Amino acid sequence: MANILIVEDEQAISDLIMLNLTMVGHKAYQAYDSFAALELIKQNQIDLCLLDIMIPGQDGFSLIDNFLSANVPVIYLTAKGSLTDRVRGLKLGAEDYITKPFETLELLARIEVVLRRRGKHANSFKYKDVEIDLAQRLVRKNGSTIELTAQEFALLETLIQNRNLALTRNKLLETAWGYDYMGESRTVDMHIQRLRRKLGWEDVIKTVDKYGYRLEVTDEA
Amino acid sequence: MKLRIKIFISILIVTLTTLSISSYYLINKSHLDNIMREQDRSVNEFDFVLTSLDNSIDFSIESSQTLKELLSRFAGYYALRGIDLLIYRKGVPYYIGKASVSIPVNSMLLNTGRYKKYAQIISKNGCHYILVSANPSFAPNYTIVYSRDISEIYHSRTNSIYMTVAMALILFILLSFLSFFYSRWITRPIERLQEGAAAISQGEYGHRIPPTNDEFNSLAHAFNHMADAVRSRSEELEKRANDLQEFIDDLSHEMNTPLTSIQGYSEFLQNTNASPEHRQMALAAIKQETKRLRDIYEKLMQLTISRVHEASLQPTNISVLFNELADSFRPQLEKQNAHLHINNELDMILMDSSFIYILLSNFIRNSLQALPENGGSIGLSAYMTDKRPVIEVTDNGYGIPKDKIEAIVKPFYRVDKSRSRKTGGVGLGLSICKNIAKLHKADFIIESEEGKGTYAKLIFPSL
Repeated sequence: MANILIVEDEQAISDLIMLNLTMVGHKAYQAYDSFAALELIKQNQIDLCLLDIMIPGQDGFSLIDNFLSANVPVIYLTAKGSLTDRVRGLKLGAEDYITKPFETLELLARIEVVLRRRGKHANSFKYKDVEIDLAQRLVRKNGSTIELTAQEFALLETLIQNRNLALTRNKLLETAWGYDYMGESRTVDMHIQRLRRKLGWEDVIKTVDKYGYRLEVTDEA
Repeated sequence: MKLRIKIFISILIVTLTTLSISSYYLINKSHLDNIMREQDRSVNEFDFVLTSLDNSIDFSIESSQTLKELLSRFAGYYALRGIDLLIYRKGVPYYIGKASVSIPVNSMLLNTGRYKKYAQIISKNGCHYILVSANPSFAPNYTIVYSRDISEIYHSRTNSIYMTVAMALILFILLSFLSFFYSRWITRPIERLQEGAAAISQGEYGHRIPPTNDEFNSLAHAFNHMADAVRSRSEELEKRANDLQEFIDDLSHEMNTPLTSIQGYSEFLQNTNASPEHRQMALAAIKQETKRLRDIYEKLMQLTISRVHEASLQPTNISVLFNELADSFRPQLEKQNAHLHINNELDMILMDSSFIYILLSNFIRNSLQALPENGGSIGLSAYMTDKRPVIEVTDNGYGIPKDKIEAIVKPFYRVDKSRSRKTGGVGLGLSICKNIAKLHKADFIIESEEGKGTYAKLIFPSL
């Protein structure tokens, strides 16, 4: 769980990012112009900023110094897709550069990468009687250790990082197995079955009809 | 063939032909004169010879032997002076001496008729002789022939011809040089013109031809004028292409933003078990962004129609038009607690009322956006200035910064992005107004002072 600032002048897009971030357990702050953004980093402990370039007030390129000096990593999220803008953004010290339109899952994955690099990502995840230590790759249920294979753990990690969001079988294959894996969707089904059985999460890992799976955690501890 | 070479060859041909013809004529004339002179001289000399022959020899008395002796001595005297005398008796050679010419038997020289003279030129072995013959009265049976070598004249003619040919050759070389440079000098402006045309066809629109002080000057001037026109036209085309590209870039950006939202929110609805409030939020956002896309589409259609169509101008009652506008904007005006002041001094104006309605709606919508949250007023008036009808929309809103007033008619331009975002403007309104004004051949003026308000005026052509 991290505090993420969204600097975006299109309210609809800002809200969309906010909703998705909240779903996977982050806390989102919204700023619609550069003045509000500068106010927000002063008053709050921000772990990451998603920064649009064309915003009222100072633009995103000139604003980045304020974030970097406050030790807030920045990901540009912008409609400006040209190579020169991209290079400029990265040279100014942004961690990443994402162009609109973007896919929610990709955005979340890139946020996760930056948070991990900064050591700001969640090391553990707890839901009801199951405790997961993501750093040491340990899973406990009611205090007793549950043995998971490396593949099962990778799948579990993907589900946790995108919790409350449905993931297609292909997306799961891509993320938990890797791009090169030529598996079938049945492989995913089998591993999901095993995870449900071992963790007792028959109701927590939900099947989404004709789509995929979703780890549904309504009230995290 | 190049013009330069044509001129070059023409000069050579004309000069050499003139030279040849005149030389030929002159040489011939002088030759004929010479011959005539020789003939006169010969005839004179012959007369003299005949007289002295008559005085010294008596043809009727003397015996043949003596006569021949006398003739030989007489002829010998003349032979020293280059004159051969031949004497025929009744057509048969009587005394020939050392004469190098022979006379054909049937020649007119030997049949001159009684007491008459005859002259002829005979050539033999490359030598020319003038012969004069006569049948003198003192010797009726004889024909006396006078012969003199006049090859000199022919030689001098040949020499003249050689001289002329040599002169022509020298002249040819000299003339070649001169006419080569001359033709080059003459065709230089044409070459400049050609270079200019080539440069322009290569895209060097800045190329200009230096002025000269002959007839080519006006041509060069016309050419440069054309080059100016080509340049300004190509710049205009380039600008139009740039504007179009900018328009497309802006349009894609404008459409991208709502599409990103719609796509993201539908994914959100599909992928999450969101709370009912969040679902409502997502649905509202999808609806709003869809409406925004539709607004863009409608404005684009209006823009296209106003650009392509011709206005069907009809007399329109201004009061009716103003009332319609007031009715349609009443809810919004009440929401912003703003007043609309209508002041109409005109009766009818020739216009396409549906287009003008769109235009005035855009003006009023812009004014509404510029007004403060509460209060403020908009004026809608029609009056005459300089015999031209004017419709004017004024407001006492924020106004437009001076540096931005040029840009406001550009498609998708918004003075304040964050403010229009809330009011949902697309940024195409004034582009449409510009086109509509153009359809009516009306002037379209926007004046503004930051902090005081904006005047948007539509000045129709005079009635």
